[in-house]
Amino acid sequence: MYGDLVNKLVLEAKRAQQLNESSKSEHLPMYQDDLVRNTLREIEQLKRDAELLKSQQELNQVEDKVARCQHFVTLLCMERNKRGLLAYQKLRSDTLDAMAWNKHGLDSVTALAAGEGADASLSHQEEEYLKDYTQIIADMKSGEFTDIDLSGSLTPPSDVFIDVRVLKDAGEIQTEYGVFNLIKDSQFFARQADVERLIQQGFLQRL
Amino acid sequence: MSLPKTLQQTFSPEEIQFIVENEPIRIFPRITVRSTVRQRRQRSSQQQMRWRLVTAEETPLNNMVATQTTEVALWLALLLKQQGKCSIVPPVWLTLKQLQMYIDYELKNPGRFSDLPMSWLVVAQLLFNRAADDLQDPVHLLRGKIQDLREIRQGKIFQGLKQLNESHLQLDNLSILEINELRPFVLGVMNKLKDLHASVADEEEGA
Repeated sequence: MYGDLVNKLVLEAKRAQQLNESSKSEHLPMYQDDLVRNTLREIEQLKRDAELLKSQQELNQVEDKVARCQHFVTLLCMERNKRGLLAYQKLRSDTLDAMAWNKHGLDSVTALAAGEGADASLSHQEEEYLKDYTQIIADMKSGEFTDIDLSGSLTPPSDVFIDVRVLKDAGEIQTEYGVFNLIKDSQFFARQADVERLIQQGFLQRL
Repeated sequence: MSLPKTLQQTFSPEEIQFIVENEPIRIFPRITVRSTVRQRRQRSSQQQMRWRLVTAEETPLNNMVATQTTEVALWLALLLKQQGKCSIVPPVWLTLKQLQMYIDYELKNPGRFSDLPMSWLVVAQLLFNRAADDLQDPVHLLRGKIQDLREIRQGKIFQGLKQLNESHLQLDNLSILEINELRPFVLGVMNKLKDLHASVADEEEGA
């Protein structure tokens, strides 16, 4: 039926959204290439119908209410398909934005490949988009607000010094204020500002 | 987006605590920072460490005299307390007698909330955890009273939720934390009610 495909797509998007909310982290399922392609094909078909109806109407030159209604319904169907596609894409791009803000450009701006576990689940256009978006964020951070770590932790600081435990081996890591030798299961009493980034990257656990 | 979904509509409890930590509180310093006249004369030769703050008043800090009360921001008081360099003067409402008066008021007036300070829950929590030895009354009794107050008020809040409507809501003397935990629910319901109301009004106008 009309719009069934796009309905599937919307349901898929909804599932992805709920997954993100329940796990409190960004996770992007596969890009539904087939569904999107088929929806687009449906839209093309509808468009051809609409054009045909229009030309017929012009040919007959009579006020045919039925034909006009047909034309109208076809347009509505196209509209609905478009809305579904846009919603799907918007949800995915929101997730990508959140990823770009959370993971990338901490401490050293890591390559996309390192941050993205699921590169295959992105479409080509989305990859491009993510790359450009990360670039925009980087530009903004290197521009006016160099002193502010805009993508840093969002919880307000409560203690200056905190205890951290090392979760996985990382070798020596140079922080701005000296060298830490991170050995698994060792514990540090460190300044929160120094270890914030390592916590975000998952090397340290806060105690 | 740059801000995670959970933070877009409301404050997190940590942020509430952060806001409250900016309030002034009285302390008994255990160190003397005020320099005597003689020291002040000598200062040209040896530079003394002074407090230099951007977000808070620094004169009370540079004039601390042991056992003379002074007023500083709560976050500073907690920081000094952690190092044993001051004791915190508990706020006037944080005594068994005063709390009992509040409880009596709450019980006598089922329609309204007693005028506890806006930050009572957070301040009580912070002081119980980090300055328990400075309170005048035993902590477990105070904790009990606070818990009583909280439960009474919670009951009233739930009663008040029956009054939710599309236009307004009056919540005098509700504390910052209580409002914060209500916000997502109340706003959602009131927005829905408003939408419903608007659609009915439109229809009436049309008819």
